[in-house]
Amino acid sequence: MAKVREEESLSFLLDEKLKEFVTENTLKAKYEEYEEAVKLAKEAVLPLARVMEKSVKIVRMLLLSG
Amino acid sequence: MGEEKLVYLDGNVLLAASTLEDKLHDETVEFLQLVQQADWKLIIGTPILLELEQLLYLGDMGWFRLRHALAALPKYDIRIVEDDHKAVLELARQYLEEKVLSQRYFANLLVFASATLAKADYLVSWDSRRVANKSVVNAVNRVNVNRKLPEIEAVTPKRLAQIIKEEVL
Repeated sequence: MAKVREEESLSFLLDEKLKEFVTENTLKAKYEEYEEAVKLAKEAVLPLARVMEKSVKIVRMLLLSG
Repeated sequence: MGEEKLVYLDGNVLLAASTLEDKLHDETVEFLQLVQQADWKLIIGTPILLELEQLLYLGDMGWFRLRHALAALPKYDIRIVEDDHKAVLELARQYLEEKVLSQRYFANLLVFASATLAKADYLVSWDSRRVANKSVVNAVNRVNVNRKLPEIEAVTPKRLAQIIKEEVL
């Protein structure tokens, strides 16, 4: 496998950007503000994670049942 | 088969695993499959959720990436751990005080703190400058030892894949 430099990965570059946003939002945050940010992230992301989990299970079942 | 290990994934690993056209996709998927074969556990913590949430504000591309990243969780049996938020924030600030990384990289320090407090054996990241880096890891572990917390190893997926192939399977 040819060696890939991390900068060639779009996911790596995107993650650097996401980390910049997280740093901006949390660096000076008081504990209560950090907890609130976590609460909002959970409310936004976790329901979607559950939906994706269900759809992966359904696809698996369909594949298994041929 | 050796003892079961706990492997904490950085955001870039999750994103590379879930993006077919990414240059690191194949290596990342191979690594995740090796972890599964070794019967080790994969986890992410709250700082990674904070990163994923930011995708919601990046329009269609972000939404697309988020759906795929979340689909990778059940696919590779990646668990979301419940962090003690106060402890994570305090430990990340301690790393900052000890100059493990500059404040520009505070999100990386949150990831180190979350992985340490989750008692992960490995933190896995494609970032070999600010995470999977010997001098950064040594600085993190100096703080961890002082606070009587477990030491952590941070490596790239490539390196951990090599360890699993040579020492476990």
